[in-house]
Amino acid sequence: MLAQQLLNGVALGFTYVLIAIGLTMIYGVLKLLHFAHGVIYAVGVFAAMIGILYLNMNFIVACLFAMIIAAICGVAVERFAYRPLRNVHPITTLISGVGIAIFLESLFQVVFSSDPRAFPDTGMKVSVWKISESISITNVKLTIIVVGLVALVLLYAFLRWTKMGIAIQATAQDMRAASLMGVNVNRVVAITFMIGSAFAAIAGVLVAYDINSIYPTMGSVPGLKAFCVVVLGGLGSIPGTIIGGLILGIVESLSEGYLNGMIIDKDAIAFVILIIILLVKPSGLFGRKVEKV
Amino acid sequence: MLKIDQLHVSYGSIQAVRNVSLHVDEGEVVTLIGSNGAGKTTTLQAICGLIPSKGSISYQGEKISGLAAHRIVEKGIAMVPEGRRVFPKLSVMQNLMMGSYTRKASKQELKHDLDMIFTLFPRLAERKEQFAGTMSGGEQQMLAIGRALMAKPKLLILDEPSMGLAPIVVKGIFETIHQIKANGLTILLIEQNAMMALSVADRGYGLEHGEIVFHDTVENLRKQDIVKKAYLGK
Repeated sequence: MLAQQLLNGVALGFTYVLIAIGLTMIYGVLKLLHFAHGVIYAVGVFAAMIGILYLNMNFIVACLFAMIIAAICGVAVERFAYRPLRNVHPITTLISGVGIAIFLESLFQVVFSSDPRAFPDTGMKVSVWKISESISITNVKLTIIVVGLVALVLLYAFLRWTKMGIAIQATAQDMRAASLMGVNVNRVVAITFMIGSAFAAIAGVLVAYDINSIYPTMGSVPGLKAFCVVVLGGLGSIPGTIIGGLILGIVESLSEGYLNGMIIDKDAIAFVILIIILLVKPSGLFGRKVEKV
Repeated sequence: MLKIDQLHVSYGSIQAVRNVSLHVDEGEVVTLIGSNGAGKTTTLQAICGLIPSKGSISYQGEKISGLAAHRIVEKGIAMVPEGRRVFPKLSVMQNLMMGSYTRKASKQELKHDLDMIFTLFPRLAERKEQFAGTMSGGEQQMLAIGRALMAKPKLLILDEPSMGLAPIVVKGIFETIHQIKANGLTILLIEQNAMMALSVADRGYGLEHGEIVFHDTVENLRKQDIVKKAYLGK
């Protein structure tokens, strides 16, 4: 039972990691809390749904399609909702992000109605793989873990060895100095949004497939949880975000397994963690010391 | 090579730089000296496209005012910023590679330039894989200069390379600037330390309260009373 819950927790954790990576990278580069990130996750899910239902895509192509559409959307949000506000008070961009999230969620409700619908038929079957007597995993959850690992490895290689990846790190460390090296900071920002949005989209599609449900506001709770993950791990820290996401996934999964009928809902655990972290160690597990403003 | 004509920069209602005109010819080392808050760094940031300004800045006969910072770097102006501003969590090697960001050079060319920088600063060669943030101020300054040289600039701008460094380290840095000058690179050097600045420069400008107050060749400046009193402590 424990091993089973841990395994489920890891799969759940990877979905949080995939969503939160974008948030932490965007914070790293722009020092901006991207409150419309959750809705980008939903954009990915609806894009995949349209791809499968109307464009006859298979599941894998639909995933790629979702990532591309979400990446375009993420870049557009940055371009039109954040960039014009770059030198004003951070609270303004925050409001702008929330506004975008509300707008897109409402738009989805108008276009797709607010009723949850099932994930379209992809011709794939959910199968259960028994690892041992008491431990089993569905192929969907296994896919989540594998996709998460592959995404992280690719991201690591990109940041460590490519020119653009190093430029993203440099921009996060010192934007002005990076522009003095000839880095087009706006392009770095756009690429960061593309990567983050694509990661959120693939997480969204896999979760929607796993829980077999699609609805317009499905990104809002995962988006908020991703914030908790990022704060837990330390704003701007990618290793922190990975650890934070896995911790949240495992804690949620364990509480579901062992603490049934608890006073607080499973979805509330992330926020309890958030409050504790803010009280005890506001810089997060891996964060730099927070400067007092 | 670089020509600034009637540059004005203001922060809100405060005029930081007023009517500054200066020029740097090819192969020259020109210094801009002045105390804290005189507007030196502001002038530089305007040249590099980091802040908006009025007036005209042209480089090799081409107007560059109004261009984004990264476009100006592409044209061959590299800057060693005030306070060094190396990337603390990148290795020395990655910092140097960031310097060559705009270049489309072959591996051999880059290797050749890296070797040149490691000859100039043997210390950097020893610390290739170290995070830049863990190095001493002097080493970071070496790295900042090396990083700018990796851009293979036609004009090198140094913003207060002596700032916050021990006198012996400053001496070393200026010896390097002498070497870079000997290689024929055009340099614009911004300094508070007039003594050091005049030791390497061909011409000098004095900036006070955002305005140019003197301008001459170094030999002549050394003779001027105002320079002696205010900057050389004689």
